[in-house]
Amino acid sequence: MNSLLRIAWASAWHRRLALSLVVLSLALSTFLLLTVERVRHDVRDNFSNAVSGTDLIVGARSGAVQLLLYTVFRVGQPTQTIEYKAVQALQKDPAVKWVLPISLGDTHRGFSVVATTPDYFEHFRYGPRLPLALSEGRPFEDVFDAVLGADVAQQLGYALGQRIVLRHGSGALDTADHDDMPFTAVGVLARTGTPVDRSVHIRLEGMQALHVDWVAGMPIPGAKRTSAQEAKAMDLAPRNVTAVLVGLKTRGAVFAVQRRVQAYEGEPLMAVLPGVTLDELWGTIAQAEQALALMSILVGIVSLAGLMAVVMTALEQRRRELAVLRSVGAGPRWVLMLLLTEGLLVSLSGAALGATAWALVLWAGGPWVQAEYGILLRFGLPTAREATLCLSVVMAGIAASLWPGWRAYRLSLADGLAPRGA
Amino acid sequence: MMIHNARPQVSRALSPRLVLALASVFCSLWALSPAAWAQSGSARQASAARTLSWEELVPKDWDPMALFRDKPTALIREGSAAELELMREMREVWDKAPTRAELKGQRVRLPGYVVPLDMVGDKLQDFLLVPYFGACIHSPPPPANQIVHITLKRPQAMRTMDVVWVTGVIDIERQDTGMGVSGYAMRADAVEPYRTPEGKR
Amino acid sequence: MSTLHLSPDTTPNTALLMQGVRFGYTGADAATLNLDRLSLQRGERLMLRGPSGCGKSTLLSLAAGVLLAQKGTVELMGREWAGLSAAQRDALRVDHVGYIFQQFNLLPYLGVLDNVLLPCRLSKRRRERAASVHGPIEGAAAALLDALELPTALHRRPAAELSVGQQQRVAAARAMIGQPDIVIADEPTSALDEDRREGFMRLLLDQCTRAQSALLFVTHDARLARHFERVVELSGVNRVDQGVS
Repeated sequence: MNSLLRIAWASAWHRRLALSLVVLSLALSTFLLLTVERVRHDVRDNFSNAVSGTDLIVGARSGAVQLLLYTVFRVGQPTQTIEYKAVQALQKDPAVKWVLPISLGDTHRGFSVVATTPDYFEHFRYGPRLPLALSEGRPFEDVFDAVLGADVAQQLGYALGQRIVLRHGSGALDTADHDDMPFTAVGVLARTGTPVDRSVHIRLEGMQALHVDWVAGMPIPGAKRTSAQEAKAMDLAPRNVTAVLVGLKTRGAVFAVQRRVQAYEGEPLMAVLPGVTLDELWGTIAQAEQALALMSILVGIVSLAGLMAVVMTALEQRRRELAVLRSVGAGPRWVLMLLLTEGLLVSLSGAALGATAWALVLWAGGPWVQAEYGILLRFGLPTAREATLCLSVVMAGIAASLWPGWRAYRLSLADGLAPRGA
Repeated sequence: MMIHNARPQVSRALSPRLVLALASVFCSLWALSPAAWAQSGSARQASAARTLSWEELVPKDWDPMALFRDKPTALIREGSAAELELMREMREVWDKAPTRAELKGQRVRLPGYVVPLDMVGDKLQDFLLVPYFGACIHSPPPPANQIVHITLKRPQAMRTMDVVWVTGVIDIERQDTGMGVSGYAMRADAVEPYRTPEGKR
Repeated sequence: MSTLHLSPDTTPNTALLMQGVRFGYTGADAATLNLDRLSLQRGERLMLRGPSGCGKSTLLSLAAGVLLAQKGTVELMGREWAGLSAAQRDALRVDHVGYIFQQFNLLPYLGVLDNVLLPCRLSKRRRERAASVHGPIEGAAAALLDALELPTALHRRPAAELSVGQQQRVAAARAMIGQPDIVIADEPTSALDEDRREGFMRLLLDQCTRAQSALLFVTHDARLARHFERVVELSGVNRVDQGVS
């Protein structure tokens, strides 16, 4: 067996120019398969971690997925606001333990601004039911206090006491900046691996103060600007919020509360279950995921077809070689094993190269993906599924070598010690 | 399999000279590409124009809230009939917003968001330039003196809410475009993507 | 292990015995080979002369157990090829036979030493016999190559870098490593030029004597006959050539 391996290796190395192209395309296929699988898995992980602590999300009646995506992940189209009266009504519901109203719409240098109540730091849960913790400073108290998520502080290099200017909307121009009412960073949250890290948290009253001079999405042009001090003296009770995160006393009450919310007479509301809605989301993109996976498999098939073609065409020129092997006692079956071993070596190299590239990209690109998209790609040992994918590539390589191997078997049998041609 | 003395010819295929030749072909193709020329050309032209701010487009003495000072706006509920009436009145005032005649004929450079008007395929021939993200699309149009109607010499590919620098000669012209009433107009010499200090768009 | 089939003509010293052999390729009209009798004793050198053609290669393939005769018997070292399975034939072949082709003898992707050692990798008997003489088998291979006057510097080179003459000598070394009982050479000098031919013959015959291997040497070149004590014309033994099918 050892000699079979050595000869197979020497033989494959001898034809490394043509085979290296096959190895590269197998590596690409493996890379694609592993990347699609890892992204698929981690995105699901990320998303469910972000919503794990919330029983219900209440907002204006729109699409459930849209509400979830906008409220929790700050992506997609904004939803209509709901009145603060609805929040108060929710709070009075007997099954409700806590409510966290949140207001979205402003940004700071690309990061979302979340306006909420001090209860947020006490009741919000993520991941395996973990509470928020502060790595520095304290929660907000003053109208113009801000608590930064871990990524915000790290990427922008902010420390406590930093003055920040918030911007209305998510555009790139500073025309929508609230320059007249800067905020001060008073706390930094510990890393959670959820969209909380990429958010700037302020009080609902602060959000209200920012928009005293605003109407219909823009500052009233030419008008005198209200100063921060003046704003603080005004009535800053929130009138509208984007949505409410709700925690119940018992999880079992979730459907009853959902029905009560649907029946609320003040305005059209809806209550969504985060887990159920996420499943709906995954169902929607399942087809896209399948398309990606199919594409990766197709690349693999093309690579294997290439392997077959390369080995087949080489066989004609190897007939003398096979006769030599025959003369030293290697029978047709040994020749078949030789070709299978060569195929194994090629596909093993391809899979290993692809897996290495995948690990490298994960390690090097993971931080960038997190900064740009907020998705944490875990760099660690492959999951069972990923290992199976790699193994499938190798097995497919051996299977692809069966036909050339069989042909070599027949050739060796027929030619014996006197190969025709070549 | 011929086993002779000759060395394999393959090693000559990727000689340094070939690589160098390929590299220079690519570089010259890139240098001659229209995009590269357009960028450098417009950069030269743009340097002669004055950067304008949106506040400069508003006459200093204009107070749009004069009509509404005595109205109890704080008590109006969002979505109520009273609010709708208020919004309608504001719309009238804003559409008639005054412009500054002294700006006419000046060569300026202004950043803003794109609101498409007339598309030819995926390219725009003319569009509105607004100062706020989502204006005219998600939110009501700004006052007429905060909307500039831009026309291009040649259609250019752009998407809604793209952030761009527009350079050209500004003109006073009121027009109801269907997306909003514009108080200014400009025949643009150049439209370039806007980049923030961080290099983002 | 098949039973030992000893025909009355077989002595313990018979390396190869072919009797009443008839062979024709499937699809061919006429038989290629029709042989009364051909025998080779241990340590004997036999030159089989005949023009290049199917008959010669067929005979060698039958002798080496690669092809099986439709009629008659072929025995190697007293064991009949026909009674063995394919795997057993491969094993018997590598244990007792060293084969030299006319050209393209070597695997181009292996080194010279690795090429010589191929039979040892596939046959325990050859490995043990090689080791018994020189300790590690690499030593045995190197010694053989030295005896065949191949420069030591070439031992580790890839086989593809050698000249034709050098390759033939490496082929000879491979055929003879582990002292097989019979060496079959199929026109080994035809690809060599005049001056090399003599040298090669001398070295080959020397080594065969040393290893006590029988030599079945096939060629079309009558001038080599002077190296052999026994020369047989193929047309003399193959009735097909004589016009009898």
